[in-house]
Amino acid sequence: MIGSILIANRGEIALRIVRACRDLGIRSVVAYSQADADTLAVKLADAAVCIGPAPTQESYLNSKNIIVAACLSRCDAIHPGVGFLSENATFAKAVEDAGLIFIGPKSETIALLGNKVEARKAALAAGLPITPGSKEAIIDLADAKMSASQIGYPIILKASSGGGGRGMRIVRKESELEAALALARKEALLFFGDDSVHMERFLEQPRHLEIQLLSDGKGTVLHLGERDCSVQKNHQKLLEESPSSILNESLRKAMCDDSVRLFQELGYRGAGTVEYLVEGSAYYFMEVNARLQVEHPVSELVSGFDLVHAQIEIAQGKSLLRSQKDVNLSGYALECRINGLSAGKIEKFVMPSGPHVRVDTYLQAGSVLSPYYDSLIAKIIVHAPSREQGLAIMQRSLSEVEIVGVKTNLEEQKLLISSSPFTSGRFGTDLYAKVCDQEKKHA
Amino acid sequence: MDTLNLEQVLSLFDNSTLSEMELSCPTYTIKLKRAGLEQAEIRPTTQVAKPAEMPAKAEQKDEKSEIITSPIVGTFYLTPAPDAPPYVGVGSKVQAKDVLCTIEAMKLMNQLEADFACEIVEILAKPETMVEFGQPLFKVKRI
Repeated sequence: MIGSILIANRGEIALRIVRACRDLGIRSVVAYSQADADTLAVKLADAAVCIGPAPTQESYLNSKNIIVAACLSRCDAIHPGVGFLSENATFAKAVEDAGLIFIGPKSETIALLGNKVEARKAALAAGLPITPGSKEAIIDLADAKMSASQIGYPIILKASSGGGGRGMRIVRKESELEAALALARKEALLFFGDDSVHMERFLEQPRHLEIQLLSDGKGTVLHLGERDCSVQKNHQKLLEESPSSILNESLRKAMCDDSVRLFQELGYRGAGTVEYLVEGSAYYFMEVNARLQVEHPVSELVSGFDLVHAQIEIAQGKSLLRSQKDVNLSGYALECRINGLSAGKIEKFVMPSGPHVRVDTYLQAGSVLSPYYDSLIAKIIVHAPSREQGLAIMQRSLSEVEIVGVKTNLEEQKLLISSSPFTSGRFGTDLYAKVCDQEKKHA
Repeated sequence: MDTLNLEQVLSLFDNSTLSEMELSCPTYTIKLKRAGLEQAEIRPTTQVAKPAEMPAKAEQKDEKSEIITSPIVGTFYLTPAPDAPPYVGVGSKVQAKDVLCTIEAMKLMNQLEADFACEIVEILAKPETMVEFGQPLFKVKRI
């Protein structure tokens, strides 16, 4: 039984997990950096331990301090949240070795999936379609040139241990390859401590879809439908919705069946997501996110599952006790991320409420949006019977938002949600560029 | 143990070298603690809310004294071994590189050395308890 959980994260996701612990009667201990001493997760947790100074390398990525804090504050388990150490196999292994439960997949699974090259091999083995690309990490420039000419330009270089849009470079012609490869390697090394990169065919206007899964590691794998995360800025997701406006039943079934099969073959334990690029009626496996995701509330609202509760129960060795036919996906959910475009003290902070609206945030009037970390201010999520109603509720919600003191992307989000490509459902990952960059030119 | 016999549990604890024991079953939980020992107590968050600012505050009060804080999370020990004399006490004068304490983290005893010659004015952390990153350990005066 898990009686006490150390939360090795910050911001809204740390608060989300503190709340889940409270719901389940589990004691929560938040590990925090000196810059986060005054945040809501620290205040609302049952206990908190300072694990380092503001820079993430010395605090939220300091595995040793985190594990010692968990042991000394008598926790049974560590929840890594999202980002930071959530997909770090070495950390997961160290947690297991310290006699603690890592709330997430087994360290071997994380290690396998964390390497994009290995993950693509596993997907291929499970019969999933993958984008044309080099299955191995690129050795040198000559190797890169050869692979690129086989795949056909444009290609995208990706950090093998990466994610979140870091360490990615799009290359449209051979003359750009050398510089792009060097930059991608440098970024990969800086962000992920591993300079290996691989290459894939770059799809110009794809949709970015992902299937949310829950797997108990004992043979039961459930899918909670898809999330369409096509609206992005520099590969960072801005809007996420479910169901996707482009999937028909047969395509949805094929993607969900493939995802479930992959997780069964991996013997996956916990919550996870399989990401795909979709172009027309073709879909390609991209990667597995072996953790909870920022946009998980979208799937929670359409499925009625609490994903953090489920993660904790699975980590305790419980079986899912449900089959796919017990999962009823209903209505439409949309998440809008409000991000800071500058750091500083928030003077005024008004969030929406009312029917069909959920807000996940850790900030209040008087809080400081830290310059050290991710700029996420709030996630506004709506759940309605149809997409049309959902969009109207989101527009109403955004009109209630008032944030004074820091610059935000609120106006951009309003623009995106009311833009005709978005409302019609016919758009690709280039929507932001089309709508917001156009607007800036006119202004 | 098939059924939990309180008497048995108590004598087991009495005859053991344990300083503390916690036993849970579906109906109840018992916590036993040997008198005079307050090991592994968790500090309430409120006491350590702003460790970063504490050194600065201490310096304001008394310009000559400085605060040495914990560089890691771990268990704070003033002695190299349970029966050994402490590395330092109030009034001790140490040279740079002299060991002040050990902080145990992941079964490793990390020795914290003084960065400069100083006199120990006050010991601020409780021995054998958890210290956080940035938690004040010693108040010292440069010599």
